[in-house]
Amino acid sequence: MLEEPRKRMLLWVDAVGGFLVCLSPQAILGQALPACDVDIPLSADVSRRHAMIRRHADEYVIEPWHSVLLRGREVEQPEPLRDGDRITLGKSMQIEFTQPHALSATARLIFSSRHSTQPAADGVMLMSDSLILGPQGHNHIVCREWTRDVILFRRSDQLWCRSPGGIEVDGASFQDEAPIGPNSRIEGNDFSVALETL
Amino acid sequence: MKFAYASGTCPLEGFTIKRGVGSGGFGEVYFATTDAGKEVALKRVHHNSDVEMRGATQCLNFKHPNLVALFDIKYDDDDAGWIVMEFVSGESLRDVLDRYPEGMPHEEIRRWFTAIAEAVGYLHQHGIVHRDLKPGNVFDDGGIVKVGDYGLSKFISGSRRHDQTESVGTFHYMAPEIGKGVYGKEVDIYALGVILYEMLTGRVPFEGESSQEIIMKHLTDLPEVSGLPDGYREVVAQALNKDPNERFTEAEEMHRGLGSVLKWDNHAKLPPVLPKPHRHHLGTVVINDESAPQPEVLQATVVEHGVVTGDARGSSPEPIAQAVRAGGSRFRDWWHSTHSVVQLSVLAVAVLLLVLQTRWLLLSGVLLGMVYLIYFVIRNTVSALSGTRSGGQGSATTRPVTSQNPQRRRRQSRVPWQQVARTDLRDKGFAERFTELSGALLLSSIVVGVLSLVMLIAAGQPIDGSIDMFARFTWLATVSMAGSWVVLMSCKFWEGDAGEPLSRRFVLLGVGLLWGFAGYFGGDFLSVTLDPTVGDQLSSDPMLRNVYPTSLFEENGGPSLASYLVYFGGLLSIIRWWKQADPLRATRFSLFTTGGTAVGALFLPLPLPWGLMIAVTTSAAVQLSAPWISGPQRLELKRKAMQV
Repeated sequence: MLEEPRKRMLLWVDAVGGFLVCLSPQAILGQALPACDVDIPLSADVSRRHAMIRRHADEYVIEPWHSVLLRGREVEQPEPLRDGDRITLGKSMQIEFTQPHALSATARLIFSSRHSTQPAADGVMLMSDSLILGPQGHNHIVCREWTRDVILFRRSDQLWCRSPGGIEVDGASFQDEAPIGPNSRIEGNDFSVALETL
Repeated sequence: MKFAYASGTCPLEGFTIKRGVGSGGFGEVYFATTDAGKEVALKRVHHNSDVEMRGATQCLNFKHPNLVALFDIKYDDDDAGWIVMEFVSGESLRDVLDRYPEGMPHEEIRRWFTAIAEAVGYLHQHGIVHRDLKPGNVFDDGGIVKVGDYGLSKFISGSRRHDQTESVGTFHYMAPEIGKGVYGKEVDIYALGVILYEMLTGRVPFEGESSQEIIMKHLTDLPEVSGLPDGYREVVAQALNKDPNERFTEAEEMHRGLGSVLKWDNHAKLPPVLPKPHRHHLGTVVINDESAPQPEVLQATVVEHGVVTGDARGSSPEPIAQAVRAGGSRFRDWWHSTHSVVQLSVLAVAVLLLVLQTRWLLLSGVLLGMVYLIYFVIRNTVSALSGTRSGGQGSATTRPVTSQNPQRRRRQSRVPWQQVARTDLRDKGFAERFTELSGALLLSSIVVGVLSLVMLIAAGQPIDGSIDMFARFTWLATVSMAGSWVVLMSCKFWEGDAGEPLSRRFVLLGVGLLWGFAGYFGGDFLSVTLDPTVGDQLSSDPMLRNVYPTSLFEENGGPSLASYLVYFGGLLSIIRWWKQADPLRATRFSLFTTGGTAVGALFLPLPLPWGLMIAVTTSAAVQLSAPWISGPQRLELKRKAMQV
């Protein structure tokens, strides 16, 4: 198994929630133990390294290492994931896989059982090229009270953020877009988002 | 939403802020972790909110599965207080309600309400009033409902009850007395009532464009509860009573009040409004439209009238009993909303009447009881007869009227059904009108005949078969019948519109004077003497004798022609008779109305018991015989109104 150095961060969105964002094309799911080196540490009755979700172009494939149920069926070979799939890890951990935005390959994992990641997050984002936060229901992170979208995107190995109408990143004002650092704070007139790189 | 502290900052030693959660009550709430990784919610309390700190200190060691736990209170370098609380990750009841704009499933209502009531009960038992109960303060934490923000609470204990002058809370859930600075446990009961109402219907009972409008409605408007399912209706109404003392005293008591509906089997989304139709049962439809000018609700209470078992009292609300109850509650509401000067004068008049007319009031009570008994027997006989006639097909009327979804229909209603009904009445042809009128006149003479005899017996007049007795009976019956006839005939012309009271009163005054002449000469002809020596010595009436000029009375104390004219003219013009004959009146027969007519008669110069007897007989005859739009017809009209 080949692994790149993992890049993960927590995205804290004021008045909305906290999200674990995985930037690597592959993410390992496993139990949250200090010794377990996984991308998505789960406080759940799952194996130390339970499964991996990998992105190929715009598609995701789940690679089961231990018991994985997909659409109610046990899977043993890597299997492509479809929007709206329900994944069961072990006996009880349930995950809903969606790709909500038509223009972005980024996928979202929401825990439908009473489980969480460690540290706790309201959902996991497997970020492809962009991550969109905004008031509409098809955004990756739905922020109902916001008046406009904020887009995080990659540009030559650097994360950027764009929002029409001006933003402030770490106290400095920008017209439309700005590069963001590992622990930047992005603010607009009615929102604020903070990054915490793990 | 902007927050004062950014992610990653540590305003409080040992805690790292991760993100803002929301702001409410007295300060901002953050999600934070301790150095060891414990997730908590931190609430920063503004400097001046001593009130909240006191309340929070009081609640610090509360333990209840349905309360958001408080861990600690800390102060930062600026001396600002922070409340460390359990972090609740799930959605709030507000979010859930927004997902169900037509009302939540019964199962969910049961789960949420039971938990909230238990939490509130716990707070009350520990001397704390929440004061800010609202859906935004109640959360679902992994399947467990938790009530938060009770840091606002204040202890109930005596002297503190009134010293809180800041008005806080969301207006939709605020009890009317909060405006006066009264924060008893009852404000939580009221909020529970509002929340229950909203869970059932998807909307709060009092909506408005501005906070003033909402507050005003809480103070004056009656909640429209007739659309709520059986079992919930009474509980919500009691919890939303304007008078705190009339509400449930404990959250648990309110919860117990819902006992049967909350225990309803899990398959039913809502307790069915319609019991399963029985083969031999005849469906009777009764519409709850006691609270007159509210936006109309298409929601019928369908009751089964047990013909086979004959147990009508147990299973079906009987219209007169309902009318009495409705009148009672209307009176209560009016009483609570009225000024204390008015209350005092009403009390004074009541006491005066009680002292001066004890005997007659007692007698009226007995009399009404007897009339009711007769009516009750007749009603049961009639419905039993019609039951056999229509066989087992009664269910045809019962099924379609139960609306599965009253809220949806309620919203669509634009035109009050009364308006549609009036148009229909106006368009009625002469022949139909004439047939209706002659039917009513015939019916009224029968009612008058029966009632007159009952009245004479009740008034203690000698029933001895003598000529005198027949004369008195004939006089009373004829006069009352003439009264009910003139009222019915006049009102037949007026049923097409709501009308202008003054001109109607004037017309009735004229008619009443004619009636007075007829009564006087009729009595003369039949040799009926109404002087106080007849029958009963106590019927002499010192009060009226002092109020009215002596010229109204003859030398033996009996009434003169003038007294007749004042009585009959007065009776017809003081009372709004067209309301009693209106086909759109709320109930066919209202004891309240007849009682009002009787009270009016007590002040008119015809000696007792005659004045009283004529007024009661006439009023009862008018109401019982005037056409009335029945339940199914009302439903039809409401449906029509919705299509307009």
